Amino acid sequence: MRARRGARASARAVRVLIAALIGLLGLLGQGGQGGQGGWGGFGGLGRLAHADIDFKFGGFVSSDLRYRLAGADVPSPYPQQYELLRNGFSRNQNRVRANLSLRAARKVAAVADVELVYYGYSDANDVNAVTLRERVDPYFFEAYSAYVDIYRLLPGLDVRLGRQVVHWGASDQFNPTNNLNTLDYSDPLLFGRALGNQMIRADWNPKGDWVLTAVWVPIFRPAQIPRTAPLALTQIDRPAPVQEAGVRDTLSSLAVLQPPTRIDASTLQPRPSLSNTQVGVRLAGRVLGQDFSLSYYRGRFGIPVPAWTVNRADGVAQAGVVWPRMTVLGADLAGSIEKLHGIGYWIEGAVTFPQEITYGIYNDNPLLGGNHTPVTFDPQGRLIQGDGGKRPVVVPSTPFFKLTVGADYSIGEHVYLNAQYLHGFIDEFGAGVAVRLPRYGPGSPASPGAQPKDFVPRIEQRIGDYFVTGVDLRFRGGTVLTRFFGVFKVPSPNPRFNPSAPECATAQSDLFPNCRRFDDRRFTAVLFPQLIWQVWDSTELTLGAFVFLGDRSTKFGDPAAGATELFAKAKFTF
Amino acid sequence: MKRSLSVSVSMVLWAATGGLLVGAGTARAAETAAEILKLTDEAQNNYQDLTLESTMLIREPGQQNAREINFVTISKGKDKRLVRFTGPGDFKGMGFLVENRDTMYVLLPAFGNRVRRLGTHVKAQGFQGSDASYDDMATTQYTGIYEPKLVATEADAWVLELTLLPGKQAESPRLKVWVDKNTHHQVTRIEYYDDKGQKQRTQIRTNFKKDEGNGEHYTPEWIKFIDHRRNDHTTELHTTKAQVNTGVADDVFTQRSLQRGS
Repeated sequence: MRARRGARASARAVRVLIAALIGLLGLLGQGGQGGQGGWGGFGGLGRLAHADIDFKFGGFVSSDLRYRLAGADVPSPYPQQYELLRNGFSRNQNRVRANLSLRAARKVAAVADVELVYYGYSDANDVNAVTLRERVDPYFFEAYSAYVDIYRLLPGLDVRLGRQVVHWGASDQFNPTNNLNTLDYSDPLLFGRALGNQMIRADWNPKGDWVLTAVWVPIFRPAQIPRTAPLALTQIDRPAPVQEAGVRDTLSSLAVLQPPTRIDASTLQPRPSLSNTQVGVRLAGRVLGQDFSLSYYRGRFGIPVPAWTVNRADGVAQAGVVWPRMTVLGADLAGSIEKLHGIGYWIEGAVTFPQEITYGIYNDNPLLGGNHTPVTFDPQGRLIQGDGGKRPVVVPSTPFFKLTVGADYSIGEHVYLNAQYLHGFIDEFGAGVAVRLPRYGPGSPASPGAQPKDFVPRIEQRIGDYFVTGVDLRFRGGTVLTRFFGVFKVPSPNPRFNPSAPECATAQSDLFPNCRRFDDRRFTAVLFPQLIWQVWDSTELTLGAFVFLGDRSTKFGDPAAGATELFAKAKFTF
Repeated sequence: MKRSLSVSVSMVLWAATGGLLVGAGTARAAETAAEILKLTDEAQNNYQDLTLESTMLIREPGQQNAREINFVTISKGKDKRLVRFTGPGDFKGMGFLVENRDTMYVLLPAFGNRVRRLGTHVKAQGFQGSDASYDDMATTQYTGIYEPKLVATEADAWVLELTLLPGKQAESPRLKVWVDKNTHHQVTRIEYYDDKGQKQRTQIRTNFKKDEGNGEHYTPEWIKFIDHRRNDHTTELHTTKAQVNTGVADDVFTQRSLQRGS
């Protein structure tokens, strides 16, 4: 059903794309009729058809084959080729991307940037599906841009209307202030590419280098989550995502005593109302030769968080997720330090004021009270049938801070270095703690040196700390590039550290998070080596790996984060 | 993750500073080395704005096929440059803005058309496999950086030896420069020497043409770079169109302009 809807949507997208291209080409043709020729316009394929019309066309064709190693099986409702096996092909995509741009008289422009992606596997779960081309060879369209620009609408004022990506922030890839577009987490190699969305953007340049930007986003577009993400909701031994330890223990005990037969997850999307629109404002300029900006955003976080569960009478746990509201105040600074041989640097930080999300639990199961009874908890985490207690908190309303500090440097022609420190990864949201899987789960044999803490959920700060480093080494006149890139998680300071607490004097103190100055240290990292060979103009071959390191209780070792992949890519750009 | 930010940056930087800033003014009598050099400097910067369409050809030793890169450079004054790459496909759409010697931005279409500030360290990068260096192209004048000495007078050219002044930084401590005697103070040949006196590279400029437009600025149609350290590896720069003083507006040299592509 879902695939059928997707196919219909894709078919609509094809029609829209074709119509847009025909319209744009028609406009070009009209422009050409009265043209006087001229040398302007930088397009390679599309030389001028009119003195004032600039036509550009470009894009790429690429192929992307990946093999997954030692991952977790992701359950699927029926046998299908796109299921993720422990070891198996995880991606077999071919992409065709086209970018078309028309510009008239330095006054207006229309841009379409569209990608057609063939999944490379079939979704034919019944004999009827085998008769449908879109099920036998599924595909999707992604439009990154489809907008109209109007320049100098008023003195110093440019306006852009339509589907677009608005990028804010000075950091490389990890931008706490960049929230207008949600991110595409479906491909870990991209570390969250921005997804286009319909917006109205206005840029006003009152003086010098200063630009005031305002953006309005009428409809929220959720982030694209990876295919492994449902594991975060549907694994039976995953701890309840609540902040209160007592409530977590109670819910875990209940889950052991009365395990759900299945966990389903549904969503509550923001309604298309005026109150659900997103806005952003940014003032950017230069101070003492350094680029500087201040920004404000009011909208929602792109990744959904759990907000309720109904224990149904049939034993199924029906979970629900929502996209929390947030307000973000940000600032960034970037420039070059000449005393350090021109090293480039950037600092970008943002304070987020999140909407509080509590966890509503209801019982339809007669064994647990039934009749859609709300379940709440007393301060000790004991269960109360009814409204007598409080709901546990998933995301507290406490403001939290994200920061990226980085620098880059080139050594001669062959070496490029880039390093960043992150406080807060792209998918992290909310103050408080992240509750991770126990190191050893059901069915996973414990090693001889296992400690008691390895069998309970691991607690660490929700906003974590990371080092991101990369180095490019270039050979053979720049046509061969080896790239080593890594993300390393480091323990975060524990704000609840209290060594004088009674439990910290016991032999079991290791089990109590408040007895640690830093988060429990557990190595986890992502390594991303690549070999990129530019075989000829515009033609690249790439071999590489994306390696997740860490056990299941860690950020990158969590099965929901994904699994190690080997990949081979080919790309031709035109 | 990135289509080599480093590659892109070095490439656009090369073009942004890309030379072509090698015009010449009218011939005047000149006797001393300092006067010759001064007139040459004036000729190189004798425009209000300059727009060039160029193709760079990078050829491996012994190979006929060359890698081609096409770009347009718009310059205004001594500092401001805007470069847009028109081909091949993997460079097309990229752009580069130099606001001044320390403030540079690159436009990265592969990253959502993001404009990124660059550290000036990228000047240390060469262009992909080419034989041109940043210094070759960034140098819009020699006076004040080098001490000139007239070492030879040929039939058609003065030969100046330039020695780096104390406290100044440049890739080569010593240059030999051939300045055309008859017309326009064109620099027709430069030889680059290291501090041991070894010739490292040679640059040859040919077929100077007066730029289109209202001005007296000359651009060589061809520049050939030869790197003797790399088995005489060559790079050629072919300028197909040069226009001067077309009234390029100041707001062309802004991040917004870089991003919007106009």
